[in-house]
Amino acid sequence: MGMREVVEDYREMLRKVDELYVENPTDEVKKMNDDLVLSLRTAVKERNRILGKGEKEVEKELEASLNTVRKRYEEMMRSGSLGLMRRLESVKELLSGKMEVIKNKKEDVRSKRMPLEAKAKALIKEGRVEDAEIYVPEITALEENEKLLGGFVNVLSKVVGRLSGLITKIDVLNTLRSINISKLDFEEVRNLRGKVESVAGDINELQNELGSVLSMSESGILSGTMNEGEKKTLKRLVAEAGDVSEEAKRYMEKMKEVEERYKEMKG
Amino acid sequence: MKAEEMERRIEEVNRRIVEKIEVVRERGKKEMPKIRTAREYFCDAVALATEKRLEEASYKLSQALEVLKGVE
Repeated sequence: MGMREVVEDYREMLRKVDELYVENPTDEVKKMNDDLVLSLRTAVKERNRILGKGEKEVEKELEASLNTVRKRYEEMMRSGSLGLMRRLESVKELLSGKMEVIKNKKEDVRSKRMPLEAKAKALIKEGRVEDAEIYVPEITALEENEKLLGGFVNVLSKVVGRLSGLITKIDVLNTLRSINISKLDFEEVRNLRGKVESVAGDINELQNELGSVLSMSESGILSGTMNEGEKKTLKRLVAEAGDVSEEAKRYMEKMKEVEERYKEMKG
Repeated sequence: MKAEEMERRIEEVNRRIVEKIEVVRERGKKEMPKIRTAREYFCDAVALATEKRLEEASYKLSQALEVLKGVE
């Protein structure tokens, strides 16, 4: 790999770190930026110094530093509430897409039912009730399918809304992981507890709703609306939501203890 | 231009980019494309500087600063 290529890799990494810093302006992300830029500055210095290090040596050092930052970045993306936030976002995107597909499907079913209904009504008007009855089973089946599809859209819409809310709130877990609850004052604890309670409530609801989405997607006209990979993604999120819920409960208990202590102190 | 001066300018422009990201974050992400453009100029500058083309690198850094000026 030449120097140009290594700098291009830094470009790619800096782009990612910039985007991450917009979403998650933590010291850890800022440090990634600092480390990348420090390595680049050192490389520039070495390359322009009389009797500086050779190109290959500078290149190697740059690569090593980049790999360190890259590992930290990937670890951050995988774990913690940031990773969860991204998974929530991707499920939201997946379900929003499905919602559109199901709406279109519902429209298709409706457009099949309407002419049949019109025919049946015309026959009834002509007094040919028995002839009209031939259409009834098909019309009923189509109506049932429309109901199923409509119900599914409603559930999906609810989950998408829930996910949007959670994405904006989930960062509170990151905050809690990085602080010592015992050192907060009474108001701060109370405020944080309210936020965690809200996240915990939403996570529980999300678990149930995703369960409904999964079971609905197996039935009748809805079967096949999710492929195996998509079902797996949802199941993973359900499991993760369980872990997050447990974590939130632990924080809430800890915060209740701290609040109680403050109350006792006030006497 | 000396290498030390280039190093200082790289640091300075990066600091300004990070500051502007903080501004963009608070006021909505509409201006993020400008930050991205500034970062591209910044990386172009670094690439040139590692090839000992300091004058051209310096010009790229000025372009990055110019773009950042447009971020409210």
